[in-house]
Amino acid sequence: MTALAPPAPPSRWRFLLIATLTPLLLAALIGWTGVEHARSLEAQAEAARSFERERVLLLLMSAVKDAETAQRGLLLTGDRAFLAPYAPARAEVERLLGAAGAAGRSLRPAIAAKFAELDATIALFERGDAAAMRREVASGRGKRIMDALRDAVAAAAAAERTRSAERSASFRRHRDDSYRLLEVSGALAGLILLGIILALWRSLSERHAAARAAHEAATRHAAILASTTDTLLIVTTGGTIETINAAGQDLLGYSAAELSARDLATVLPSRAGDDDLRARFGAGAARGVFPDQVARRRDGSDVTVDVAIGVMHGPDGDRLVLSLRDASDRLRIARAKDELISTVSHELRTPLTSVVGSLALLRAADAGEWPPQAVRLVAIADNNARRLIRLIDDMLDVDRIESGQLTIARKPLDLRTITAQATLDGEGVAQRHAMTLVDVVAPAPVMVAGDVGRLLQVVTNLVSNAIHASARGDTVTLRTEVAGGRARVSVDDHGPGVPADLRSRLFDRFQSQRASGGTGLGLAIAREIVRRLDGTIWFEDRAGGGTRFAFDLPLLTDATGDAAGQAGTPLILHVDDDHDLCEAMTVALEDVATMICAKGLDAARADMRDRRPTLVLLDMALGDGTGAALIPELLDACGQPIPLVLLTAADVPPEIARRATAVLVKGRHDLAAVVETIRRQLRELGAHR
Amino acid sequence: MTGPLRLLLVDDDPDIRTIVTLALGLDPAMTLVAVGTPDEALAAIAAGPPFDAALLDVTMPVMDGPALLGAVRAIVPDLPVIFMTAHSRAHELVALYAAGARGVIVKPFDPLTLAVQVRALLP
Repeated sequence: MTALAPPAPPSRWRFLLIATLTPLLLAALIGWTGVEHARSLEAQAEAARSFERERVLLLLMSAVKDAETAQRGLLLTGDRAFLAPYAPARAEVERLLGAAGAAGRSLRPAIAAKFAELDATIALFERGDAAAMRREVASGRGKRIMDALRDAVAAAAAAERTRSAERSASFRRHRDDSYRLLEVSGALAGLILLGIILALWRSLSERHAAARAAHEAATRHAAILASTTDTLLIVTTGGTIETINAAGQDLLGYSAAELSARDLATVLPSRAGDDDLRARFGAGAARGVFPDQVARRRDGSDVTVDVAIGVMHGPDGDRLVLSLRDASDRLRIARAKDELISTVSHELRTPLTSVVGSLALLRAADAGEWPPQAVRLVAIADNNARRLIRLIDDMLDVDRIESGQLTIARKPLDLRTITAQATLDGEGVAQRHAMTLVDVVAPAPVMVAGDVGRLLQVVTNLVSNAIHASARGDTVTLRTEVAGGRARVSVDDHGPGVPADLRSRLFDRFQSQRASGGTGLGLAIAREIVRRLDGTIWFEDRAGGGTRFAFDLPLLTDATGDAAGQAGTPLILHVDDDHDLCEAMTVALEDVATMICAKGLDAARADMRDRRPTLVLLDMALGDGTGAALIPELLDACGQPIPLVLLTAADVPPEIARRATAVLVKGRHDLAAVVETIRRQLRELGAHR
Repeated sequence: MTGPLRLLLVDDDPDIRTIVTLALGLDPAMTLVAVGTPDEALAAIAAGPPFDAALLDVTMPVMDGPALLGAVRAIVPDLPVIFMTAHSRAHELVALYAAGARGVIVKPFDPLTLAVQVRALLP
């Protein structure tokens, strides 16, 4: 699962810019609209005023005409009654002149002249000189004045009309502009509103989608937590429990609420000496798998669990995810399998001990008097009984490989000694099949870091397979050599070759059986042994018929020899001719030291020279002499005595006992005491380093 | 050790007792008392003369080898005990050494060299 990047937060600056500019733009548009509107109103008022002034001018002209009509009526009829409208008309003219503004002022002299003419003619009538009045009127002066006045009024009215039209146009222009601006502002406001609604919608639907996704994820996670059969605990790095799933509640008997905020030690109690999470689960409580931990149930009972720890990174700090798997079944099955293998192998070995022992004693007895048939039958029984034993041993080896208990030493050895021994061991079988075993040895030692017994097992198996694949009279050739910078052992036969259907799985279990007549496990075990020694095993068809089985191992040089004892791990040289005890010690001390076993003085001397052990565990009675002979030679690179522990059944002279840091007597001190003494020695050595 | 040895064998399997008797009979300096039960073994020890070592089978009914070793040591605290067992796995051998064995001989053993193996394990 890839980690998803968290979503980026929205840009604050962009949001602020939009939020500021949009209202500003809208306000500017509305302001502009207001200005245009005011201008249009002003133009409208101006147009109305001009129109009014034009109307006043026309009324003015009409009033003057009324006054003249009154004068003419008087003149024509002599009836004073016609003069009645004259004074009101004159007053009307005065009022209209005031209302006419600038135009009125320009017309006033002409009007004054008109009224002077009218007054003069009327005065003539009043004096009773109607004839003079008629002359005066007939002179046409009054008409001229009136014509001039009419022209002036018409011009002023035309001017006002023009002005009024201009103002009206201006009004319409500004009004239209303000309408347009209003439309633009409205459209803009509408757009902004639409944008806001869209953004709001998007934000809401995104929020909904996110909430739904989060809900689905949470549901999924909850389902995983609930449905997994392993116990899952979410714990803070400080060791406080936050959550436990249903399986965990079933396994441990607690409810989630009961465990919330409790310390992890409630369910994973610390053992003596490792009292916190870090100590138990490694520095920083890093991820890893910790098998066979003890978990405590609510009722106080314990259950063995395998604990896997993962780290969960979160925004509010790291959490540890502890997965607890009930290991009871695994342990029960492992125990049952262990018991079965142990019982089967024991129950098969016991009767085979009688069979093989009887046959061996029988064959050792004087067989001269037996009929040849009997000798052959005893040999057949012996061969097959031994084959059964090999099968049991192979099965135990396979079990050791599977359980990781196959112990393989890595001590310097010459591969030529292995092929020589295998040749010697195979001689008897080869002779019975009228075959020849040839060992082609390298001219110089072919050194590797390996286990004599296990490598001999590999080579013996290859030789045995080769013999079974060959026909009577054939030759089987063993060869040690250095090839491609590696040590190589090969076994050649002239057999029919490996069947095609077996070639790809020849080294798998129970596959090679048909071809070799063996247990079917030998090659699988051989491959594991070679692999564990950093080598490769293979087979190839030989030119001219037959098969070559070969394996190679890293060549041991001086440099790699020194590195063979892992850095920091103490190297203990155990000199004892009891191989089983050596093996038992190797197993008992494998967690603190690398063991080298030497069976005799010569092997011990070689190991002292090649491996430089930290401590020597010495048996006094050895097959090829007394351990005492070795003691003066137990010196380190600086010539200082190497710490010595004596483990022996023989009497130890006082001067030798003084040289040793501990003396343990076989039989009196049990293995546990021996192991504890050596552990103590190693601790003290470690403290002085 | 090369001198005469008086040995006690405890194994519930009569065939094994026969084979061990024959195998150790190849060494003229060895005397073997072979019994099939812990009671007989303790009785043989009590009856004397003293044994130089005991060869004990591990898987036996009533009392297993390590338990018998405890019972034997209660009478003869420093009697060397060698287990003869068909168990051959490392942890099984470790358990036997931990119980106080002088040595372990894994079955099937080679009857022709059994006497030599026994002598090699004894002081």
